[in-house]
This record gives sequence, structure tokens and C-alpha cells, in this order.
Amino acid sequence: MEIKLKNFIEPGKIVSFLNFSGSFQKFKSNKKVCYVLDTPFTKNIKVGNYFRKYFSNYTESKFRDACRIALLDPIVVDTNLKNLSKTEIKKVRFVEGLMYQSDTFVFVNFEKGFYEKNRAYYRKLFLKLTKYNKCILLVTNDVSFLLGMKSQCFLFTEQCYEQIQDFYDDNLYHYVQMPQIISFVKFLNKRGIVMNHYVDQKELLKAIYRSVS
Amino acid sequence: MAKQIHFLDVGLNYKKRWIFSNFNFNFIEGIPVCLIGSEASGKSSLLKMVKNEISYTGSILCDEPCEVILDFHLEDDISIYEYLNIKNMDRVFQQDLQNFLKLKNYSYSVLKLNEVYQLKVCLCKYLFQCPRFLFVDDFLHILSLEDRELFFQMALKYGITLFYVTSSMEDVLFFPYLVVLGRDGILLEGSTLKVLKEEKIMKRLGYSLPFIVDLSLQLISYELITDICCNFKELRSKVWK
Repeated sequence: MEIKLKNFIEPGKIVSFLNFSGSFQKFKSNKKVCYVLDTPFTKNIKVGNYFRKYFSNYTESKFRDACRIALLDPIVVDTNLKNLSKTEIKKVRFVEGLMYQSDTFVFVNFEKGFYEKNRAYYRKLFLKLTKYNKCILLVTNDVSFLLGMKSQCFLFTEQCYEQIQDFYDDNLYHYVQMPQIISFVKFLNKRGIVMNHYVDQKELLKAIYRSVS
Repeated sequence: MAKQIHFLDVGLNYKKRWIFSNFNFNFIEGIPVCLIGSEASGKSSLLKMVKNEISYTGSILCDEPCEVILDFHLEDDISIYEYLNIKNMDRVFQQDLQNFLKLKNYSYSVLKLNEVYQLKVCLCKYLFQCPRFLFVDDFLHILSLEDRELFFQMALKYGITLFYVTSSMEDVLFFPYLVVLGRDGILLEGSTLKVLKEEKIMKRLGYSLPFIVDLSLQLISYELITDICCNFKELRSKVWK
């Protein structure tokens, strides 16, 4: 079954795709869509020079702002595109989209390799971008990255796709890894300790406290 | 005497920019190590240094040759059967291979396998060579948690001491020793639980804690339990006695 992501594009929305197996390697970012993935660059040029050379709307301040938003370390500007780490590649590709002022951003397994502080930052940033009418498409297998983020979520299987309403739906976890918090609540419920379907650790903590006191 | 790999004042300098420096560490046989670090902190580069693929400052002294897995994409158009030389494989390995790969047919070309299976086949290839030390880069996250656990257990069973680089905090609990890499070398190191107990420092550095450890620490502060728990069963029995 062929599925086109463009059918899901809606300005001002975050849409996430779980277990999506399409390949994005050959797509190039442009004014309309920015693809943020960790495919290595082939150009033998420094990051800063790359933007100066290939982006007609380049200005120093615009580039600096884009780097700040994408959390790209200013030191990386002097690094060759070929020597970037995987997370740096993703950040540079994100900067490309910000420079193009793309309407849609497709993040493919973006959260991998980032530590929690930055994951939390990007979650907030995605929400902020939707307020500027940008559409954020997240292709991921990491449900924990999506918890607490208001997004339309679709699960893809071999034959079809369906919208996920509840992250506690067991059907989902035939295809992707279950977040630990969900796993734990399910574990407790199975053993007779009744807990609501929490996705926030603080809420769960309060519920545990209430259940024993 | 246990074999060791010594990292002495190891540093990585790229065009006058220090990625990290002063990395001093003794990797001892029998003590699997998990290394975490922020993005672009040089974790993968450290493995490339062990493999002598990039130049670095300081020295790395190995008592014993070691294997380093930096990439798992397979390029030979041969069957899994041939690639892993299953014909001459020990029966124990064959059994473990079956448990890990869960494939009925080994005649598929390794080129046609999806990413997850390519990784599994690649890991098996290294495991069955039983190197004394095995360094693995941060790509195991594409496997399920169960498969990762199985891989770590197999390594232990074959007497392989793993040095595992990861950005997944859930994986650190599989390892008895944890090292946190920073710009100035090692920021924190020690038995995994001891390091994780440094909750404030870890969070200030930007790391989350593994879910069960984080929850335990909060329950300790609520005085519901007294020790960190590493699994659900233990936590349940302590909280709901």
C-alpha cells in the first residue's frame, strides 16, 4: 500500500507516524518541505560556507538565529559537512528548513541520539512552530517521545493505517516499543493495583502515593 | 590476571577544537561498561580511536586485541547461512542464534534483510567470534528492549566484556558500570546505581534517569521506599507490601 505523507499535511498541526517504513533518503528539502534525517552530506564544504553558497536568502543574523533555534553549536559552522556527527547532521538539516522557511518539516527518527533536555526542548519547539502555521510530521518508533505532545498519531501496518486515540492500546505495541511508564501501569493493573492510564510521571507518582496512604 | 584496555589522557582535537580531553579509564575484563555522553561529545569517535581509524592525543594500550562495531550495514550478497558459517557453528551458538534471530530460513541474502535483521546478523557474527572485548556503537536502539537484553546476556555467557556506547538511558541498567563522558573527560563514573543516585548532577547535565530508577528516587523522597529498585516487581513488592 502506497501512502503519501503529503495527504497528512495540515498547517498548524503536529502529525506523528509510528512504524512508517517509507524511505526518505532521496528527498531534498525545499521551500515547501524540509526533511530532517541523519543521511550524511556528500558535499565537501564547511557548514557555514554551505549555507552562504547555496542559500540565496542567506544573511549572517538569519543563519545565526536558525542555528540557535535548532540548537546547532556555533563551533560546528567551521566543520566540514562530511565530518558531522549524526545529531549534528539532523540539526544542520533542520537549519536548512528554517533558512528556507519551509511550510512543513518532516522529522525522521529525529529524537534518536538526543538526551532528555534537548528532546524536551524540541517538543516545545514543535508546538511553537505550529503556532506559526507550520506543519510538523514526526516519523518515529519512539512512543515515549510523543507522550504528552498533542499530535494526531497514526500507526502503520502492512495493510493499512489507523489513528491512535489511546497510547494504552495494546494493538500499538505489536509494532513499536512500549514506553516504560505504560508498561509499569499495565503491570500494576494486571496485579490488581488499579491505576488510571497515566502518561505523566508526576501524575503517576501522586496516584501511587494516594493508593498507599 | 584480568586483561585490560587502558585509556591514558586520551583526547580528540578537531581543527583546534577539543571535542573531549583527559579521558583516563581502565576497561577491565569481566566488567561491562556503558558509556553515555551528550550529542557530539565524541562517543563514537572514541570507538574509532580504539579501531585506529582516527588520530587522537594520549594513548590506548590493549592487553588483548578487541573488536569494534561501528557499522552494521552488510554489503556482501551471500546468504545468512554462509555469512555466519552456520555449517561449522557450535551447537550452543546455533541454539542462541535461533533464539535471537527467530528466522526459519537462513538462505536469505543478508543484503535483502531489513535494518533490524542486518544488525542482528552482524551482532551474531561478532558474538560467535568470542572476542575478549567488544565495543559497540550507539545503534542498538533499533532493536526491541528484549532483543537488546538478550544480546547483552549472550555476550556475558560467551565471556565477552562489552563496552557499549548509548544515548538510551533505559539501557544503562543492563550494565554494572557507567561512565559519563564530557568535554573534560569523565564527568562521572562508578557502579551504575551509584552514578544514577547523583540525580541532581545527572539532570543538570541534561540526562533523564531510567524510568524505574527515577520513580524509585521520587518514592524515596516521599518516604514510601528506602532503596532504588531496578525492576517493576521489586518496586511493587516494596511499595504495596
